[in-house]
Amino acid sequence: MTDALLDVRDLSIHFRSGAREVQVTRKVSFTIAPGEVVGLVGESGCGKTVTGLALMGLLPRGRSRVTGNIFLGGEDFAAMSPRQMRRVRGRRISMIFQEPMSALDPVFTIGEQISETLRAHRDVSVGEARARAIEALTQVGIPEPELRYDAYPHQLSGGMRQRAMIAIALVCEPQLLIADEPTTALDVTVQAQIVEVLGGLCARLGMAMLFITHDLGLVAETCSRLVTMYAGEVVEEGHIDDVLVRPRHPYSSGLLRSLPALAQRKATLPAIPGRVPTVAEMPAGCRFRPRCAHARSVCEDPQSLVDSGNGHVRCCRQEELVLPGALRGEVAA
Amino acid sequence: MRTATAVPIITAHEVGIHFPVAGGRTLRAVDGVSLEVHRGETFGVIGESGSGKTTLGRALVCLERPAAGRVLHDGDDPYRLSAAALRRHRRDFQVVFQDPNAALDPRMTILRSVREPLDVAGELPRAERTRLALEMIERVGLNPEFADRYPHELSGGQKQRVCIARVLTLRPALIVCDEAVAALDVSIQADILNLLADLQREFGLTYVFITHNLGVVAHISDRIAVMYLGKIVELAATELIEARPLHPYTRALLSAEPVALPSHMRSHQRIVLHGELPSPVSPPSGCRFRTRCPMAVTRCMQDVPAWREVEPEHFCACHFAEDVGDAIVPQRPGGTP
Amino acid sequence: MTKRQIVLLASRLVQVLPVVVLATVVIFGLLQLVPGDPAAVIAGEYATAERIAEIRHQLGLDQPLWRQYLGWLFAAMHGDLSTSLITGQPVVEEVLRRLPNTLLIVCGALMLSISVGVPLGLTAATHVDSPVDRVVTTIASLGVAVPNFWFGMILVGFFALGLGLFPTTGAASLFQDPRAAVMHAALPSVALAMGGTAEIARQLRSAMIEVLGSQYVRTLHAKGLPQSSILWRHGLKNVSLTLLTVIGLVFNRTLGATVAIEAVFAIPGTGTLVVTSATNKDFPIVQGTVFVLVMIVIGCNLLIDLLCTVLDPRVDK
Repeated sequence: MTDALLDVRDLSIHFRSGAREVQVTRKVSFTIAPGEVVGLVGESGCGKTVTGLALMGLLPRGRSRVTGNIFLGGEDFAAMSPRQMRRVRGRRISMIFQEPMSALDPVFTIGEQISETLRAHRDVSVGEARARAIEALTQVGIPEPELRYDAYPHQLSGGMRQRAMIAIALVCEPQLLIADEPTTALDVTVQAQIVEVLGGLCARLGMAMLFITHDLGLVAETCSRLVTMYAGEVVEEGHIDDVLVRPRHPYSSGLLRSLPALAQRKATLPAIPGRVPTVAEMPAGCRFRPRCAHARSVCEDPQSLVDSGNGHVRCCRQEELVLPGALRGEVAA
Repeated sequence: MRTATAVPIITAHEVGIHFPVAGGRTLRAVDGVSLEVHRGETFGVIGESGSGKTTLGRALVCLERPAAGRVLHDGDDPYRLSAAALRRHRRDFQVVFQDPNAALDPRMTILRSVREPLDVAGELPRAERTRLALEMIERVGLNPEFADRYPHELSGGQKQRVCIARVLTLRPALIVCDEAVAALDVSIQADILNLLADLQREFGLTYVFITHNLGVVAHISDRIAVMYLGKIVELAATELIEARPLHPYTRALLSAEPVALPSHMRSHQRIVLHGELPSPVSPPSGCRFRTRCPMAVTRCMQDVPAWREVEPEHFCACHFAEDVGDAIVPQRPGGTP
Repeated sequence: MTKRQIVLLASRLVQVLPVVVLATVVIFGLLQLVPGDPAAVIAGEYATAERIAEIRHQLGLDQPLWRQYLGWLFAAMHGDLSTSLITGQPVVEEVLRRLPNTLLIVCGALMLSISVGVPLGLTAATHVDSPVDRVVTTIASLGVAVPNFWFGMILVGFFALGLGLFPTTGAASLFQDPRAAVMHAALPSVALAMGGTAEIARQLRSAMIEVLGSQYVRTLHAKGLPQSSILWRHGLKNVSLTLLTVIGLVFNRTLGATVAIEAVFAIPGTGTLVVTSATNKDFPIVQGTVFVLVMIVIGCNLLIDLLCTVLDPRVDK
């Protein structure tokens, strides 16, 4: 794909402690087109958040090593110096986090926190920065933005804080927003508000978004494409509706079928046995093999991400398996 | 499954729980809540933060004494019991919490944690207590070799199993599950939900299942109560709530829940509620939901909507419940077709 | 300033009143426990019983205790702390003559502690687990452990007696001879500053490490702010409350430590005044000096409290 905005190639992340080094993600590759919203899903410990932080260049330099390429608009972020990377963060690529209370500086007003972002990247006057910050607050749907400019984070509700966080991230109109579980700490009705704000902003500003979440329902409602990660690897990538109807990887299928909302009421849920392996217990060959109901001896060989027609899958049996998706058999047929 | 004449295991009548807050004001965390929980059923309570669902759960099992109204267990008032008898009585009513890390003592082995309630009760010889505890550890699907381990060696799902084993040792009649699967990954959550269902069949348990997750509560519950700002706004069988919600808040909640369905299958329009949850210290006059309700009219500001049986076994507190019910309503895929 | 903050300030002021009352009761009460009759001391060894009774009446010692206390408190509030039993001079004059010498070395020590401790703590926090950090933490541990009077004697031995750079003992008036006053105060200030420097460096280091590891600092990096802005603008403002509290603590401790340091350097300050008056059983002086020092400490704590209230936007929750 040459027209991609973001092109991540073979991104491997290693954490170091002393002389020991462990690999957290292995050869992660995916692309995001301009203005596209892509979901990155997987259980905790699959490497979603570290991938997001690596894209931002936010992993601690001394304790991590990143290999591979991160092309954004043709430039390789992975090869940039910390100084160059700082100029890009918050301007061309932004990130919002799960817990809006602890992600905002408690002793600065939200207005100050927005306008300082602008002033770090653009040559604007204090007055102009204030005006733009108020405009950003309006865009994310904060009522009475002139008043809220001078509010401290603790004076706002959780939903309003996350809106302020979004305002900080978008004030420089980045090309890509990384949203790391932005609604997990919020109530369902507030989540709906935030999702609406994010979707509206992407459409209006032509901004692309990488939506990191464990909630497949949210991905279905917000994203056009889905990237599934398991144990530090991308195991499936494809159009959201295709994956929901006919997942190609047993892990994607398992995640969908674990959802109580999609199962027959009171029926036994087809849970995935076991749990995500730690780095120490990582199996050779297919990493999902110990938890997979379809594992055969061929799965003991390393798996590569191959083209599945309308996406990519890391499963050697993908052509022979017909895996159940979000719909129960009789509906899908 | 149940007969109409059976005495409910829990009856709450106009229960109110009040906490003093700064400025000499009172926070009515639960305000005039009435419900019945029948033996053997799973009673779901759904609500957002600040709805009072956790406080209600605590009150139902005598962990919080109501300031108003009464909570009856099998038709009797547990607060009439002597202190010792109340302690014994409480063993029949257990709670499993959201955070298993906080619920387990990090310096106690799994065996000791599971055996602890029996040790406190002190009615059985030690060897018997250990045997029972080991039996429960196995029953919740943990390898018995976990017995000598410590909580930090276990995953979140395994720790939650330990918490379930611990409350089971006392052979309770009812367990309040307060967001018991909220902190777990979906595949682990499915495991725990399956386990809870199995245990219910095996031990004839009654559950009060408190959660903010609609998918979870709808999957496991026979009946659902929807709470908003300290009040139950709607109560009915799960199928009725899903197919024909009568309260505008229930409708908004149902529509806000993201569903993992492909775009062509998602027919419903999401209702995004505007505004913020009002402070429970000074709730709005009249109907508490009126500040965010898309249907609110002047009457909602003045009259508190009565709690009434709008349709058979379908209770709701909204002046316009009939109109809401007749509106087109999203069909959820998991519900009974 | 918001209305909320003004209310908070007022309530802090009201809260300090019981502390003042309690402090005065203790100061007044302590001397009642001391053995010996002040009237007998004043009257001299060969006085008659009538003479002692007369003096007792003059001093009001024959009154009930609560009346004595109220009388003392009322006078104290009007700046009358009674007179010295030995010299007959008003206590206030005696204390005020000595106080500048003490305050000079205390303030000198405090300024040194802050100007050395803050950079040390910040440097250590930004270089956690590096050799720089280890050196700072070691110095800080030593600074807390070494007794300051001992350190003072080393300083005198080296800089005053050995190199002759500073006077060994005594003090000079800041108003009449500022240069001499500063030279006299230099070594005692350094000796006093050691503990405070160590305390400030240690506390600031751990507070700053916590702030730099927080999620909001990650957000600041994500926004692309320069490191300097993260450290000096956001970091410092977030640790300023801890810093203020520690400075208040260090001030109190330094004031207490002057007793030993003034003895080492033979400085005519309030510390030596208390010690000599206590041995001479000159109780009004002891009482008055302690009263003045306690009021300074309470005032200083109040000031810190008020500053925290103004600085921290989170107090009004």
